[in-house]
Amino acid sequence: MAFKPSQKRKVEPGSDELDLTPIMNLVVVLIPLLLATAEFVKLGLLETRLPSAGGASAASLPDQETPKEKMNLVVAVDSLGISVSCFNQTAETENTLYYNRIPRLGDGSLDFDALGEHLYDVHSQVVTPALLGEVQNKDEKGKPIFNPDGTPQMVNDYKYSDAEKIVIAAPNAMEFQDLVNLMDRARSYVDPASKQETMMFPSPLLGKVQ
Amino acid sequence: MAAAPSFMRKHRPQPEEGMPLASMMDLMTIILLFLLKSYSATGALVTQVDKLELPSSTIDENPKSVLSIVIDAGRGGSLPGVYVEREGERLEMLDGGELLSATATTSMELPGLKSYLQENASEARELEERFGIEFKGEITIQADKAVNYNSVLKVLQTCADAGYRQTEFVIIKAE
Repeated sequence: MAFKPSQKRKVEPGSDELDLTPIMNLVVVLIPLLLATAEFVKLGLLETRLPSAGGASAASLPDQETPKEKMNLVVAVDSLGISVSCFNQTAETENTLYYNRIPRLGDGSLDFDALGEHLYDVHSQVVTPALLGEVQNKDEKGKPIFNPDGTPQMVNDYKYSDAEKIVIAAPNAMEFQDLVNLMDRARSYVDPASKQETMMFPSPLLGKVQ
Repeated sequence: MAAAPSFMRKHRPQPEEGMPLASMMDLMTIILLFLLKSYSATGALVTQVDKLELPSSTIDENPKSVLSIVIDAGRGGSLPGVYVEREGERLEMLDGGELLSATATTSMELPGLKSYLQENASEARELEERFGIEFKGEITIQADKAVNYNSVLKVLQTCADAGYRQTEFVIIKAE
């Protein structure tokens, strides 16, 4: 007995090429749309302040009975390099945590990597142990600030009133890009191994080397 | 005389010649991915002024649309000085470059900028009184990366004197 021929054989083989026309139409519409909304250079903002003339501690903490201690972290740039000092240390001592001088690199540029590492040391050994807990954030008039959901906005409370501030003092001729690099290194430190970012001194105050 | 082609040869079905779209699709896919990556839903609130090279920074804060001024270093034939900025254009020079040099230390105040800012601040305060639009004293500064620290400080000091205390620099976000 002869086998019945398979039904599949009778089916005409269709075109095995994918019809790309609809997707091409879609892509042709999408590309001009995305081109119009594309942002090739991403701009951002870098906040900065001048130091207040009268000192900020008493004015910003009106209900504080005793003013807090200050660590006076200063980064000063000169022709030799960068010096970092805190607690008003002015001379190089054995304790390089409170006063350290970072010389310029061979090509005369400032050593921002070394500065970042040193500031991280200051932050982890001086500022972090001085963290007392959290307090509710207050505005300039001493009024408590709340989040949009009604919960109190909390900020870190440090032993030092200027624990998140850094004073940058630089010569007149320093380029603006160097200033931005200084502020970047002072604001946060990215651990090269773990890529973890630590916020350090996000409030730079700009001063001048006399 | 050559023989005329036969009827069969003349009317032989030709193979279909479709356009090769595969390579074009590859190209389109790459362009699409690139554009999707650079897509911005908010659009450009701040436009970079031409002939100005902004510094790059690692900060991640987005720009906002407030009063803006430019500190020009005189790149590409433009005159150094402080300008009013609107939608990526320099509008009016407020102070010339002679006040911005690193050695010009006589005064920390820029007279042209100060009078312009004071005028703006008084208008903003009037709006605050009449319509309740809060005057926060915000100003953004587009400064060329080559301008000196002295001129940056002078501009900051003048802004603060005129009532603009929330100063922010426009930077290019480093990838």
